[in-house]
Amino acid sequence: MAIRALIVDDSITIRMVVERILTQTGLDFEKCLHAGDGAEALKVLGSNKVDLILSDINMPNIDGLELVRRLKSDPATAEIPILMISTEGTETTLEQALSLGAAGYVKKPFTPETLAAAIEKCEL
Amino acid sequence: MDAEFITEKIIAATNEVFETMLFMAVEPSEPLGDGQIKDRIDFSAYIGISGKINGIVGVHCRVALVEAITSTLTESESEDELIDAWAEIVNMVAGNLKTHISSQVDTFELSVPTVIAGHEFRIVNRGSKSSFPRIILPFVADDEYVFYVDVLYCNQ
Ligand SMILES: [Mg+2]
Repeated sequence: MAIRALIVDDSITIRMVVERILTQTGLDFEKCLHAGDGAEALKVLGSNKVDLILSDINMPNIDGLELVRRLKSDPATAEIPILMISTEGTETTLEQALSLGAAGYVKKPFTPETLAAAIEKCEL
Repeated sequence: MDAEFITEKIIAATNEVFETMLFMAVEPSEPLGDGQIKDRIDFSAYIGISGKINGIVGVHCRVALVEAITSTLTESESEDELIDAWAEIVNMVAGNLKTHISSQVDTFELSVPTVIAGHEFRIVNRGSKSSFPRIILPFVADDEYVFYVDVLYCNQ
């Protein structure tokens, strides 16, 4: 199955880096959508169906934790696996994301292999 | 923590960020220690660290390196994008340094990054003779672009 992914990060650099690493995982990506924060992600998800969300934690407007909370409480998006991508994420923040329903997390920097393993755990 | 230990961790953390996230090979060279960075700098990004270790992590470079990084990622190269890239790089270097150091001592937290973008300014190091030792490590990315990772720290 070709995967449709949504990358959510307030840094365009990181969105592009994540997209480039995704293409090197060996997994089949149909397309990568981008959103600059949680609010934009909700807007994108209103009109696009995706199989996987990769999200930053620290973002303006709606941050990563709040995004997970909202997506998990909406039946239309509750089933989409969300992987948190973080640098500075403290263990407690990452644990919080998992307890809210995130499928997992990867810490920057990461290799295509690490990202592929985290995605495979999501059982898309 | 001695300077040798921190130096080793800076090298490991920086290598990983550039090699895995930016697909650039980097080579460290001898630490500059208390000396000044003699090169002119165009981009300087800083992030504060606090916890068991307090201090600042900085990365400094010429604009050519940031342009080389962003040109492989996006079509436009606005100053905003260059600043964004350099802020994310200091964030990843400092975050990864924390990951590398945290197996040995308790962790520290990171502040938000600040980027200084200008044209040929000079970074002058002050205060390194106080209780904050400073390590400045020059690196060369892709055999071409010199940059510096600059860590000023004190153990609590
Ligand atoms: Mg962010």
